[in-house]
This record gives sequence, C-alpha cells and structure tokens, in this order.
Amino acid sequence: MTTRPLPFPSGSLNAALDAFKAACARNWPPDAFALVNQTLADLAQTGIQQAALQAGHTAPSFSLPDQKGRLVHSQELLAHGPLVLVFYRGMW
Amino acid sequence: MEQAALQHSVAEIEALGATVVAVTPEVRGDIRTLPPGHPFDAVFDQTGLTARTFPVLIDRGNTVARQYGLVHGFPPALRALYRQFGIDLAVHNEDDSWTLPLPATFVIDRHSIIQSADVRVDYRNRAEPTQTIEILKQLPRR
Repeated sequence: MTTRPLPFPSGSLNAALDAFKAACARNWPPDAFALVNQTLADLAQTGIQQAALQAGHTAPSFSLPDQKGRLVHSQELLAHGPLVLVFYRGMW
Repeated sequence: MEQAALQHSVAEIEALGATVVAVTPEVRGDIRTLPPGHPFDAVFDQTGLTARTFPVLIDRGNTVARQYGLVHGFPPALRALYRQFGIDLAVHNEDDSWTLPLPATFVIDRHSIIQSADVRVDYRNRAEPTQTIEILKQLPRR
C-alpha cells in the first residue's frame, strides 16, 4: 500500500482545519456561523468534555461491525498491542 | 481531513505495534452531500469506503460512544441548518435521534487502560496524528 500525499503537510492537520474554519467564517451566512459557534459554546457549558472518559479510566470493551459487516472485537485488537480508537461524526 | 491524515499515519502507528480503528455512527457512508468543488473533495479519495486500510466501525445509535461519554444532541435550529446544507443525520445514521459523538481519540494500552484521551467539544479541530504517534512512543512496552 503506497501512501499518497496528503492535500496538506503532514503534521499540520489542525492548521488545515483552522484554515477551513476561517474559510467557513468568510463564506457562510453570518447567522449560520454564529449559530454553530453558539451551539458549541452551549455544549461546552454542559460539561460533556469533563464527563467523557479520561486517561486512567478503563476503556469499555466493544464489538462493532465494520463497513463490510464483519464484527471487530476490541479485546482481540488489544491482545496484539495498544489501540488507537478514533470517534468521528461521519463523512457526509 | 482527519481520516485522510490518519490513513497517512497508519503505517507509522502500526510499526509501533498499535492498531487504529475509527468508530462512527454514520451507517450510510456511501452518501455524499458535499457540492462539487468543495474543499473537502480533495481528501475524499483518501477516505472513501475502500481507501482507508484501518477498520471503520459502525456504531449504530452511538451505543459505544455513549459508554465513552461522548454523545450529544442537536438543538432544533442546528438541525434545520444541517438540513439546509443537505445533511439529514436521520438518513446518514439511520437513526432519528440526531445525536453525534464528540470527536475523540483514545490511546488504550493492552491492559484496557486509557493512556490518553483527546476529546474535542469543537469538532472543527481534531487530535493531531503526529501527537498520537508521540504518545504511543512513550507507552511502556508491557
């Protein structure tokens, strides 16, 4: 598997995301951008970030299907070594 | 973009003996809503259904994300805005609860202890994969 180049420099994901956010701020209707910002501020106020699992907690085990429907078990992955578990919202 | 960056880093992560999995409530990853020419178009060929070499797991209804404390809802005004952008989460997620996980990256050691948790309230920034690699390098071997 060859690694294709990223459309942004390696090690600068957040710089690329910041640039995208700035472009949204310029191009979106101001009301829409303000609504997203307000929603995120309200979400922060709920304390959800503090309530999420933190370093030192035990990770709940899980079994979930991949995109082909095959079940993947976290305990089997952890038997081989550390696990990088990335939750994301969707590709849309 | 995060998924493309992860794909770029997956070989280095695996060389450290670790596994990468992505978890999403999106059941219908095949539906594209972005208009042609959208800035994210450039990353989609690296993140499509077959482009990622690490497992993408479907967390229908955010069941697992809830156990990690990541699930949140959407106020009606934001639902309306998303629909205006052509994004109907009830369709994408096959779940009419309109809930999503906070983007989060957990590094879990082989004893199931979370060694680092990068949880983002503002979904517009994400854990930097190079940082995740540094965390893996610091882990004790056993």
